[in-house]
Amino acid sequence: MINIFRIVYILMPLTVVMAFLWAPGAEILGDTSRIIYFHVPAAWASVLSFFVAGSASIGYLFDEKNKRARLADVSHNSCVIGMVLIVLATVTGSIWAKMSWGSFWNWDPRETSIIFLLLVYSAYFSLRSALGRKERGSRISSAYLVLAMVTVPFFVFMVPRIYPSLHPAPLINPEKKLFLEDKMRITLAFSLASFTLLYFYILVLMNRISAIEARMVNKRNEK
Amino acid sequence: MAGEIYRNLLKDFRVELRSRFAVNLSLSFAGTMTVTIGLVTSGVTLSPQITSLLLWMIFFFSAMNGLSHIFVREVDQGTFMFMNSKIGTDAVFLSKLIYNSVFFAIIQVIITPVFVFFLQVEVKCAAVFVATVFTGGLAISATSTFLAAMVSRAGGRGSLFTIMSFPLLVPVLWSAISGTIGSFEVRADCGWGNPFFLLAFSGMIAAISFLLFRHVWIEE
Amino acid sequence: MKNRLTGLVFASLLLMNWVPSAYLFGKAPAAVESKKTGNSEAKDAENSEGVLWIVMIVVLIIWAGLAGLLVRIDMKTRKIEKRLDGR
Repeated sequence: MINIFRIVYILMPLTVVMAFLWAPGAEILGDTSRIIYFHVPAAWASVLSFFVAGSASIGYLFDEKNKRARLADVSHNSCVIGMVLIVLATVTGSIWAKMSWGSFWNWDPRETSIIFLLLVYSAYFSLRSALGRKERGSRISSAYLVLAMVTVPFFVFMVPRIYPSLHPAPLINPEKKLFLEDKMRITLAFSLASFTLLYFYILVLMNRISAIEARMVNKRNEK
Repeated sequence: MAGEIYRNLLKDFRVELRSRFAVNLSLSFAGTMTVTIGLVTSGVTLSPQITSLLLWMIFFFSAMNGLSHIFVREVDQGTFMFMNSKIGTDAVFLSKLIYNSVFFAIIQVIITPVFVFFLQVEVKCAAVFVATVFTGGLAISATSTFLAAMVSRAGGRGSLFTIMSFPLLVPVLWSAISGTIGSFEVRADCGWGNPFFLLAFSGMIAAISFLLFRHVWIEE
Repeated sequence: MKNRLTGLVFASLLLMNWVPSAYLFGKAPAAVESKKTGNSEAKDAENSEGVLWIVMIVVLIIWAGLAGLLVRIDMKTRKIEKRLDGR
Protein backbone atom coordinates (compact mmCIF):
# COMPACT_ATOMS: atom_id res chain seq x y z
CA MET A 1 0.00 0.00 0.00
CA ILE A 2 2.88 2.35 0.68
CA ASN A 3 3.81 2.25 -3.04
CA ILE A 4 0.89 4.46 -3.98
CA PHE A 5 2.10 7.16 -1.61
CA ARG A 6 5.50 7.22 -3.29
CA ILE A 7 3.78 8.97 -6.22
CA VAL A 8 4.33 12.09 -4.13
CA TYR A 9 8.00 12.05 -5.26
CA ILE A 10 6.76 13.03 -8.73
CA LEU A 11 3.58 14.87 -7.81
CA MET A 12 5.09 17.37 -5.38
CA PRO A 13 7.79 18.81 -7.67
CA LEU A 14 5.22 18.93 -10.46
CA THR A 15 2.91 20.88 -8.16
CA VAL A 16 5.69 23.31 -7.24
CA VAL A 17 6.45 23.96 -10.92
CA MET A 18 2.78 24.44 -11.70
CA ALA A 19 2.33 26.74 -8.71
CA PHE A 20 5.17 29.03 -9.72
CA LEU A 21 5.15 28.90 -13.51
CA TRP A 22 1.97 27.46 -14.97
CA ALA A 23 -0.84 28.89 -12.85
CA PRO A 24 -1.41 32.61 -13.40
CA GLY A 25 -1.40 35.14 -10.60
CA ALA A 26 -4.83 36.16 -9.32
CA GLU A 27 -6.53 39.32 -10.62
CA ILE A 28 -5.95 41.75 -7.79
CA LEU A 29 -3.40 39.99 -5.62
CA GLY A 30 -1.11 39.01 -8.49
CA ASP A 31 1.78 36.65 -7.73
CA THR A 32 1.13 36.86 -3.98
CA SER A 33 -1.91 34.64 -4.52
CA ARG A 34 0.43 31.70 -5.23
CA ILE A 35 0.56 31.21 -1.49
CA ILE A 36 -2.84 29.51 -1.88
CA TYR A 37 -1.06 26.39 -3.18
CA PHE A 38 0.79 26.02 0.15
CA HIS A 39 -1.64 27.43 2.68
CA VAL A 40 -4.88 25.72 1.66
CA PRO A 41 -3.45 22.18 1.33
CA ALA A 42 -1.61 22.53 4.65
CA ALA A 43 -4.84 23.57 6.38
CA TRP A 44 -6.79 20.78 4.69
CA ALA A 45 -4.16 18.16 5.60
CA SER A 46 -4.10 19.32 9.22
CA VAL A 47 -7.88 18.84 9.54
CA LEU A 48 -7.60 15.49 7.75
CA SER A 49 -4.87 14.36 10.16
CA PHE A 50 -7.10 15.34 13.05
CA PHE A 51 -9.97 13.23 11.74
CA VAL A 52 -7.66 10.31 11.03
CA ALA A 53 -6.37 10.56 14.62
CA GLY A 54 -9.95 10.65 15.94
CA SER A 55 -11.05 7.70 13.79
CA ALA A 56 -7.99 5.66 14.78
CA SER A 57 -8.79 6.47 18.42
CA ILE A 58 -12.36 5.16 17.99
CA GLY A 59 -11.00 1.98 16.39
CA TYR A 60 -8.54 1.56 19.26
CA LEU A 61 -11.04 2.19 22.05
CA PHE A 62 -13.76 -0.10 20.72
CA ASP A 63 -11.39 -2.90 19.80
CA GLU A 64 -12.69 -5.57 22.18
CA LYS A 65 -10.40 -8.35 20.99
CA ASN A 66 -7.27 -6.18 21.19
CA LYS A 67 -6.44 -6.83 17.55
CA ARG A 68 -5.74 -3.23 16.73
CA ALA A 69 -3.41 -2.14 19.51
CA ARG A 70 -1.23 -0.25 17.03
CA LEU A 71 -4.05 2.20 16.33
CA ALA A 72 -3.02 4.20 19.41
CA ASP A 73 0.32 4.86 17.73
CA VAL A 74 -1.43 5.72 14.45
CA SER A 75 -3.51 8.30 16.24
CA HIS A 76 -0.50 9.78 18.05
CA ASN A 77 1.63 9.94 14.89
CA SER A 78 -1.25 11.58 13.02
CA CYS A 79 -1.44 14.23 15.73
CA VAL A 80 2.29 14.92 15.47
CA ILE A 81 2.04 15.47 11.72
CA GLY A 82 -1.15 17.46 12.17
CA MET A 83 0.56 19.76 14.63
CA VAL A 84 3.32 20.57 12.14
CA LEU A 85 0.76 21.16 9.40
CA ILE A 86 -1.31 23.41 11.63
CA VAL A 87 1.72 25.57 12.43
CA LEU A 88 2.44 25.69 8.70
CA ALA A 89 -1.13 26.68 7.86
CA THR A 90 -1.20 29.33 10.59
CA VAL A 91 2.04 30.99 9.53
CA THR A 92 1.29 30.94 5.79
CA GLY A 93 -2.23 32.15 6.56
CA SER A 94 -0.90 35.04 8.64
CA ILE A 95 1.47 36.03 5.86
CA TRP A 96 -1.38 35.96 3.37
CA ALA A 97 -3.58 37.93 5.78
CA LYS A 98 -0.93 40.64 6.01
CA MET A 99 -0.72 40.83 2.22
CA SER A 100 -4.49 40.84 1.66
CA TRP A 101 -5.98 42.55 4.70
CA GLY A 102 -3.07 44.59 6.05
CA SER A 103 -2.53 42.81 9.39
CA PHE A 104 -1.14 39.43 10.43
CA TRP A 105 -4.04 38.52 12.71
CA ASN A 106 -7.65 39.69 12.59
CA TRP A 107 -9.52 37.15 14.75
CA ASP A 108 -11.40 36.18 11.65
CA PRO A 109 -13.64 33.10 12.35
CA ARG A 110 -11.50 30.90 10.09
CA GLU A 111 -8.26 32.11 11.67
CA THR A 112 -9.79 31.48 15.08
CA SER A 113 -10.82 27.96 14.07
CA ILE A 114 -7.23 27.06 13.19
CA ILE A 115 -6.00 28.36 16.55
CA PHE A 116 -8.69 26.32 18.24
CA LEU A 117 -7.40 23.19 16.47
CA LEU A 118 -3.87 24.11 17.59
CA LEU A 119 -5.10 24.34 21.19
CA VAL A 120 -6.75 20.92 20.93
CA TYR A 121 -3.50 19.37 19.68
CA SER A 122 -1.52 21.11 22.45
CA ALA A 123 -3.95 19.85 25.08
CA TYR A 124 -3.68 16.33 23.66
CA PHE A 125 0.14 16.43 23.88
CA SER A 126 -0.02 17.82 27.44
CA LEU A 127 -2.34 14.99 28.44
CA ARG A 128 -0.21 12.42 26.69
CA SER A 129 2.97 13.55 28.46
CA ALA A 130 1.15 13.53 31.81
CA LEU A 131 -0.08 9.98 31.18
CA GLY A 132 2.99 8.38 29.64
CA ARG A 133 2.86 5.74 26.91
CA LYS A 134 1.30 2.90 28.89
CA GLU A 135 -1.92 1.19 27.82
CA ARG A 136 -4.03 3.30 30.15
CA GLY A 137 -2.40 6.51 28.90
CA SER A 138 -3.18 5.60 25.32
CA ARG A 139 -6.82 4.87 26.15
CA ILE A 140 -7.36 8.14 27.97
CA SER A 141 -5.65 10.32 25.37
CA SER A 142 -7.58 8.51 22.62
CA ALA A 143 -10.83 9.25 24.46
CA TYR A 144 -9.85 12.92 24.54
CA LEU A 145 -9.22 12.93 20.80
CA VAL A 146 -12.63 11.38 20.12
CA LEU A 147 -14.34 14.04 22.22
CA ALA A 148 -12.33 16.79 20.53
CA MET A 149 -13.17 15.37 17.10
CA VAL A 150 -16.84 15.85 17.85
CA THR A 151 -16.45 19.55 18.66
CA VAL A 152 -14.09 20.41 15.80
CA PRO A 153 -16.65 20.37 12.94
CA PHE A 154 -18.51 23.14 14.70
CA PHE A 155 -15.51 25.40 14.69
CA VAL A 156 -13.85 24.47 11.45
CA PHE A 157 -16.90 24.10 9.23
CA MET A 158 -19.91 25.81 10.80
CA VAL A 159 -18.66 29.02 12.43
CA PRO A 160 -16.85 30.43 9.35
CA ARG A 161 -20.09 30.01 7.41
CA ILE A 162 -22.37 31.50 10.03
CA TYR A 163 -20.39 34.59 10.99
CA PRO A 164 -19.11 37.16 8.47
CA SER A 165 -15.51 36.51 7.52
CA LEU A 166 -12.70 38.31 5.72
CA HIS A 167 -11.58 34.97 4.34
CA PRO A 168 -12.11 34.23 0.65
CA ALA A 169 -15.30 32.28 0.01
CA PRO A 170 -14.80 28.78 1.37
CA LEU A 171 -14.48 26.02 -1.20
CA ILE A 172 -17.80 24.57 -0.10
CA ASN A 173 -20.11 27.53 -0.46
CA PRO A 174 -23.85 28.01 -1.10
CA GLU A 175 -23.24 28.32 -4.85
CA LYS A 176 -21.21 25.06 -4.78
CA LYS A 177 -18.59 26.67 -7.01
CA LEU A 178 -14.85 27.21 -6.98
CA PHE A 179 -14.24 30.85 -7.77
CA LEU A 180 -10.91 30.28 -9.48
CA GLU A 181 -9.59 30.24 -13.02
CA ASP A 182 -9.19 26.81 -14.59
CA LYS A 183 -5.40 26.70 -14.34
CA MET A 184 -5.51 27.80 -10.72
CA ARG A 185 -8.17 25.23 -9.96
CA ILE A 186 -6.11 22.40 -11.49
CA THR A 187 -2.96 23.53 -9.68
CA LEU A 188 -4.86 23.71 -6.39
CA ALA A 189 -6.20 20.18 -6.98
CA PHE A 190 -2.66 18.92 -7.61
CA SER A 191 -1.46 20.71 -4.52
CA LEU A 192 -4.19 19.21 -2.36
CA ALA A 193 -3.42 15.74 -3.72
CA SER A 194 0.34 16.20 -3.12
CA PHE A 195 -0.06 17.32 0.47
CA THR A 196 -2.57 14.57 1.20
CA LEU A 197 -0.25 11.92 -0.24
CA LEU A 198 2.70 13.41 1.63
CA TYR A 199 0.75 13.33 4.89
CA PHE A 200 -0.23 9.67 4.42
CA TYR A 201 3.30 8.73 3.35
CA ILE A 202 4.88 10.31 6.44
CA LEU A 203 2.14 8.74 8.60
CA VAL A 204 2.80 5.25 7.21
CA LEU A 205 6.55 5.66 7.76
CA MET A 206 6.05 6.84 11.35
CA ASN A 207 3.66 3.95 11.99
CA ARG A 208 6.24 1.48 10.72
CA ILE A 209 8.86 2.97 13.05
CA SER A 210 6.41 2.74 15.99
CA ALA A 211 5.70 -0.90 15.12
CA ILE A 212 9.46 -1.63 15.06
CA GLU A 213 9.88 0.07 18.46
CA ALA A 214 7.03 -2.01 19.89
CA ARG A 215 8.49 -5.24 18.52
CA MET A 216 11.91 -4.43 19.98
CA VAL A 217 10.38 -3.66 23.39
CA ASN A 218 8.45 -6.97 23.28
CA LYS A 219 11.63 -8.85 22.37
CA ARG A 220 13.50 -7.22 25.24
CA ASN A 221 10.68 -8.06 27.68
CA GLU A 222 10.64 -11.69 26.49
CA LYS A 223 14.34 -12.01 27.27
CA MET B 1 -29.08 1.56 38.20
CA ALA B 2 -31.33 4.44 39.32
CA GLY B 3 -30.80 3.34 42.90
CA GLU B 4 -27.03 3.30 42.48
CA ILE B 5 -27.06 6.77 40.93
CA TYR B 6 -29.22 8.12 43.74
CA ARG B 7 -27.05 6.63 46.48
CA ASN B 8 -23.82 7.85 44.91
CA LEU B 9 -25.32 11.31 44.41
CA LEU B 10 -26.41 11.46 48.02
CA LYS B 11 -22.95 10.38 49.14
CA ASP B 12 -21.28 13.07 47.01
CA PHE B 13 -23.55 15.81 48.31
CA ARG B 14 -23.02 14.67 51.91
CA VAL B 15 -19.24 14.60 51.52
CA GLU B 16 -19.27 18.02 49.87
CA LEU B 17 -21.52 19.43 52.57
CA ARG B 18 -19.12 18.13 55.19
CA SER B 19 -15.92 19.45 53.64
CA ARG B 20 -17.33 22.27 51.49
CA PHE B 21 -14.01 22.34 49.64
CA ALA B 22 -15.14 22.70 46.02
CA VAL B 23 -18.09 24.96 46.76
CA ASN B 24 -15.90 27.29 48.84
CA LEU B 25 -13.24 27.38 46.15
CA SER B 26 -15.66 28.12 43.30
CA LEU B 27 -17.82 30.58 45.21
CA SER B 28 -14.86 32.45 46.70
CA PHE B 29 -13.21 32.76 43.34
CA ALA B 30 -16.37 33.86 41.55
CA GLY B 31 -17.31 36.25 44.35
CA THR B 32 -13.84 37.78 44.53
CA MET B 33 -13.69 38.26 40.77
CA THR B 34 -17.14 39.82 40.64
CA VAL B 35 -16.40 42.26 43.43
CA THR B 36 -12.99 43.12 41.96
CA ILE B 37 -14.50 43.83 38.54
CA GLY B 38 -17.28 45.86 40.17
CA LEU B 39 -14.71 47.86 42.11
CA VAL B 40 -12.47 48.50 39.15
CA THR B 41 -15.31 49.55 36.88
CA SER B 42 -17.27 51.36 39.61
CA GLY B 43 -19.89 53.55 37.99
CA VAL B 44 -18.66 52.95 34.46
CA THR B 45 -21.29 51.39 32.20
CA LEU B 46 -19.71 48.58 30.30
CA SER B 47 -20.90 47.53 26.86
CA PRO B 48 -23.04 44.36 26.61
CA GLN B 49 -20.10 42.62 24.91
CA ILE B 50 -17.64 43.26 27.73
CA THR B 51 -20.21 42.51 30.43
CA SER B 52 -21.09 39.13 28.86
CA LEU B 53 -17.43 38.31 28.38
CA LEU B 54 -16.65 39.06 32.03
CA LEU B 55 -19.60 37.04 33.28
CA TRP B 56 -18.59 33.96 31.28
CA MET B 57 -14.91 34.30 32.17
CA ILE B 58 -15.96 34.20 35.82
CA PHE B 59 -18.13 31.14 35.19
CA PHE B 60 -15.40 29.41 33.20
CA PHE B 61 -12.69 29.85 35.82
CA SER B 62 -15.05 28.95 38.66
CA ALA B 63 -15.76 25.74 36.78
CA MET B 64 -12.05 25.11 36.34
CA ASN B 65 -11.55 25.55 40.07
CA GLY B 66 -14.40 23.39 41.25
CA LEU B 67 -15.63 20.84 38.72
CA SER B 68 -12.62 18.53 38.67
CA HIS B 69 -12.84 17.95 42.40
CA ILE B 70 -15.54 15.30 42.19
CA PHE B 71 -13.18 12.79 40.55
CA VAL B 72 -9.87 13.99 41.94
CA ARG B 73 -11.25 13.51 45.46
CA GLU B 74 -12.10 9.87 44.74
CA VAL B 75 -8.55 9.17 43.55
CA ASP B 76 -6.89 11.21 46.32
CA GLN B 77 -8.87 9.57 49.11
CA GLY B 78 -8.40 6.14 47.55
CA THR B 79 -12.14 5.50 47.36
CA PHE B 80 -12.43 5.01 43.63
CA MET B 81 -11.57 1.28 43.70
CA PHE B 82 -14.23 0.69 46.32
CA MET B 83 -16.71 2.77 44.34
CA ASN B 84 -15.96 0.81 41.16
CA SER B 85 -16.52 -2.48 42.91
CA LYS B 86 -19.86 -1.37 44.35
CA ILE B 87 -21.33 0.74 41.56
CA GLY B 88 -21.47 0.19 37.81
CA THR B 89 -19.36 2.46 35.59
CA ASP B 90 -22.42 3.94 33.90
CA ALA B 91 -23.96 4.80 37.25
CA VAL B 92 -20.69 6.42 38.38
CA PHE B 93 -20.62 8.66 35.32
CA LEU B 94 -24.29 9.64 35.48
CA SER B 95 -24.17 10.41 39.19
CA LYS B 96 -21.04 12.55 38.78
CA LEU B 97 -22.59 14.33 35.79
CA ILE B 98 -25.76 15.13 37.69
CA TYR B 99 -23.72 16.22 40.70
CA ASN B 100 -21.54 18.57 38.65
CA SER B 101 -24.56 20.02 36.83
CA VAL B 102 -26.40 20.72 40.10
CA PHE B 103 -23.25 22.02 41.78
CA PHE B 104 -22.49 24.44 38.96
CA ALA B 105 -26.12 25.53 38.71
CA ILE B 106 -25.97 26.46 42.40
CA ILE B 107 -22.79 28.48 41.81
CA GLN B 108 -24.45 30.27 38.90
CA VAL B 109 -27.65 30.97 40.87
CA ILE B 110 -25.58 32.65 43.59
CA ILE B 111 -23.10 34.51 41.41
CA THR B 112 -25.38 35.79 38.64
CA PRO B 113 -27.51 38.13 40.81
CA VAL B 114 -24.36 39.34 42.58
CA PHE B 115 -22.81 40.11 39.20
CA VAL B 116 -25.93 41.86 37.93
CA PHE B 117 -26.11 43.86 41.16
CA PHE B 118 -22.48 44.99 41.38
CA LEU B 119 -22.06 45.79 37.71
CA GLN B 120 -25.54 47.30 37.43
CA VAL B 121 -26.36 45.26 34.38
CA GLU B 122 -29.60 45.92 32.55
CA VAL B 123 -31.09 42.69 31.34
CA LYS B 124 -33.52 43.37 28.50
CA CYS B 125 -34.58 39.76 27.76
CA ALA B 126 -34.69 38.03 31.13
CA ALA B 127 -35.97 34.71 29.76
CA VAL B 128 -33.12 34.42 27.25
CA PHE B 129 -30.60 35.47 29.88
CA VAL B 130 -31.71 32.83 32.36
CA ALA B 131 -31.94 30.17 29.63
CA THR B 132 -28.45 31.00 28.33
CA VAL B 133 -26.89 30.96 31.79
CA PHE B 134 -28.58 27.68 32.66
CA THR B 135 -27.85 25.87 29.39
CA GLY B 136 -24.31 27.26 29.27
CA GLY B 137 -23.75 25.89 32.75
CA LEU B 138 -25.10 22.51 31.66
CA ALA B 139 -22.75 22.43 28.68
CA ILE B 140 -19.75 23.36 30.83
CA SER B 141 -20.65 20.69 33.41
CA ALA B 142 -21.18 18.01 30.76
CA THR B 143 -17.79 18.67 29.16
CA SER B 144 -15.93 19.18 32.44
CA THR B 145 -17.21 15.98 34.07
CA PHE B 146 -15.62 13.71 31.51
CA LEU B 147 -12.42 15.74 31.39
CA ALA B 148 -12.23 15.68 35.19
CA ALA B 149 -12.27 11.88 35.07
CA MET B 150 -9.37 11.96 32.62
CA VAL B 151 -7.39 14.43 34.68
CA SER B 152 -7.90 12.44 37.87
CA ARG B 153 -6.52 9.32 36.14
CA ALA B 154 -3.61 11.36 34.78
CA GLY B 155 -2.72 12.42 38.29
CA GLY B 156 -2.78 15.98 37.06
CA ARG B 157 -4.05 18.98 38.92
CA GLY B 158 -5.26 22.47 38.19
CA SER B 159 -3.64 23.61 35.00
CA LEU B 160 -3.93 20.33 33.05
CA PHE B 161 -7.69 20.42 33.54
CA THR B 162 -7.87 24.02 32.28
CA ILE B 163 -5.59 23.30 29.30
CA MET B 164 -7.74 20.35 28.27
CA SER B 165 -11.07 22.03 28.89
CA PHE B 166 -10.54 25.34 27.18
CA PRO B 167 -10.42 24.17 23.52
CA LEU B 168 -13.52 22.01 23.99
CA LEU B 169 -15.39 24.76 25.81
CA VAL B 170 -14.66 27.46 23.23
CA PRO B 171 -17.86 26.69 21.23
CA VAL B 172 -19.80 26.78 24.50
CA LEU B 173 -18.30 30.11 25.56
CA TRP B 174 -18.74 31.55 22.08
CA SER B 175 -22.42 30.68 22.01
CA ALA B 176 -23.07 31.57 25.64
CA ILE B 177 -21.44 34.99 25.30
CA SER B 178 -23.37 35.61 22.10
CA GLY B 179 -26.64 34.62 23.78
CA THR B 180 -25.93 36.79 26.81
CA ILE B 181 -25.13 39.80 24.61
CA GLY B 182 -28.48 39.21 22.91
CA SER B 183 -30.27 39.33 26.25
CA PHE B 184 -28.56 42.62 27.19
CA GLU B 185 -29.46 44.35 23.95
CA VAL B 186 -32.83 45.41 22.64
CA ARG B 187 -33.53 42.98 19.82
CA ALA B 188 -36.63 41.53 18.17
CA ASP B 189 -35.61 37.88 18.56
CA CYS B 190 -33.44 38.15 21.72
CA GLY B 191 -31.21 35.35 20.39
CA TRP B 192 -33.07 32.17 21.41
CA GLY B 193 -30.91 30.11 19.04
CA ASN B 194 -28.00 30.12 21.46
CA PRO B 195 -29.70 28.42 24.44
CA PHE B 196 -31.01 25.74 22.07
CA PHE B 197 -27.54 25.21 20.66
CA LEU B 198 -26.07 24.96 24.16
CA LEU B 199 -28.71 22.44 25.17
CA ALA B 200 -28.01 20.35 22.08
CA PHE B 201 -24.26 20.60 22.71
CA SER B 202 -24.63 19.41 26.32
CA GLY B 203 -26.74 16.48 25.18
CA MET B 204 -24.23 15.50 22.53
CA ILE B 205 -21.21 15.78 24.84
CA ALA B 206 -22.99 13.89 27.63
CA ALA B 207 -23.92 11.08 25.22
CA ILE B 208 -20.39 10.73 23.85
CA SER B 209 -18.84 10.97 27.31
CA PHE B 210 -21.22 8.24 28.51
CA LEU B 211 -19.99 5.93 25.72
CA LEU B 212 -16.31 6.70 26.35
CA PHE B 213 -16.30 6.82 30.15
CA ARG B 214 -15.56 3.14 30.76
CA HIS B 215 -12.37 3.40 28.67
CA VAL B 216 -11.12 6.20 30.89
CA TRP B 217 -12.27 5.00 34.29
CA ILE B 218 -11.69 1.28 34.35
CA GLU B 219 -8.19 -0.12 34.86
CA GLU B 220 -7.49 -2.74 32.19
CA MET C 1 16.30 7.37 14.77
CA LYS C 2 12.65 8.30 14.84
CA ASN C 3 13.01 11.63 16.61
CA ARG C 4 16.02 12.83 14.63
CA LEU C 5 14.77 11.85 11.20
CA THR C 6 11.17 12.90 11.72
CA GLY C 7 12.43 16.20 13.13
CA LEU C 8 14.42 16.77 9.95
CA VAL C 9 11.42 15.79 7.79
CA PHE C 10 9.20 18.29 9.55
CA ALA C 11 11.83 21.02 9.44
CA SER C 12 12.18 20.50 5.68
CA LEU C 13 8.41 20.55 5.23
CA LEU C 14 8.14 23.83 7.10
CA LEU C 15 11.03 25.36 5.18
CA MET C 16 9.57 24.21 1.85
CA ASN C 17 6.44 26.18 2.57
CA TRP C 18 7.82 29.18 4.38
CA VAL C 19 10.42 30.04 1.75
CA PRO C 20 7.84 30.81 -0.99
CA SER C 21 5.59 32.47 1.56
CA ALA C 22 8.41 34.76 2.68
CA TYR C 23 9.28 35.60 -0.92
CA LEU C 24 5.67 36.32 -1.86
CA PHE C 25 5.29 38.40 1.28
CA GLY C 26 8.37 40.41 0.43
CA LYS C 27 7.06 40.93 -3.07
CA ALA C 28 3.67 42.23 -1.99
CA PRO C 29 4.51 45.94 -1.44
CA ALA C 30 6.35 46.15 -4.80
CA ALA C 31 3.43 44.57 -6.62
CA VAL C 32 0.98 46.98 -5.05
CA GLU C 33 3.25 49.96 -5.72
CA SER C 34 3.77 49.22 -9.40
CA LYS C 35 0.02 48.74 -9.81
CA LYS C 36 -0.59 52.17 -8.25
CA THR C 37 2.02 54.05 -10.28
CA GLY C 38 1.55 51.97 -13.46
CA ASN C 39 5.26 52.52 -14.12
CA SER C 40 7.70 50.08 -15.75
CA GLU C 41 5.29 47.15 -15.54
CA ALA C 42 7.13 45.20 -18.22
CA LYS C 43 10.45 45.49 -16.39
CA ASP C 44 8.79 44.57 -13.11
CA ALA C 45 7.20 41.53 -14.77
CA GLU C 46 10.60 40.43 -16.13
CA ASN C 47 12.37 40.81 -12.78
CA SER C 48 9.50 39.11 -11.04
CA GLU C 49 9.63 36.07 -13.31
CA GLY C 50 13.36 35.70 -12.79
CA VAL C 51 13.02 35.79 -9.01
CA LEU C 52 10.04 33.43 -9.24
CA TRP C 53 12.28 30.92 -11.01
CA ILE C 54 14.93 31.25 -8.30
CA VAL C 55 12.41 30.74 -5.51
CA MET C 56 10.93 27.75 -7.32
CA ILE C 57 14.38 26.18 -7.67
CA VAL C 58 15.10 26.77 -3.98
CA VAL C 59 11.80 25.07 -3.06
CA LEU C 60 12.60 22.16 -5.37
CA ILE C 61 16.02 21.78 -3.75
CA ILE C 62 14.41 21.70 -0.31
CA TRP C 63 11.90 19.15 -1.60
CA ALA C 64 14.75 17.05 -2.96
CA GLY C 65 16.30 17.06 0.52
CA LEU C 66 12.97 16.12 2.10
CA ALA C 67 12.38 13.36 -0.47
CA GLY C 68 15.87 12.03 0.19
CA LEU C 69 15.15 11.88 3.92
CA LEU C 70 11.89 10.03 3.30
CA VAL C 71 13.63 7.52 1.02
CA ARG C 72 16.30 6.99 3.67
CA ILE C 73 13.71 6.38 6.40
CA ASP C 74 11.78 4.06 4.08
CA MET C 75 14.83 1.95 3.27
CA LYS C 76 16.15 1.89 6.83
CA THR C 77 12.81 0.77 8.28
CA ARG C 78 12.53 -1.94 5.63
CA LYS C 79 16.00 -3.21 6.55
CA ILE C 80 15.15 -3.34 10.26
CA GLU C 81 11.80 -5.02 9.58
CA LYS C 82 13.54 -7.73 7.55
CA ARG C 83 16.06 -8.23 10.35
CA LEU C 84 13.30 -8.55 12.94
CA ASP C 85 11.42 -10.98 10.72
CA GLY C 86 14.59 -13.05 10.66
CA ARG C 87 15.01 -12.78 6.89
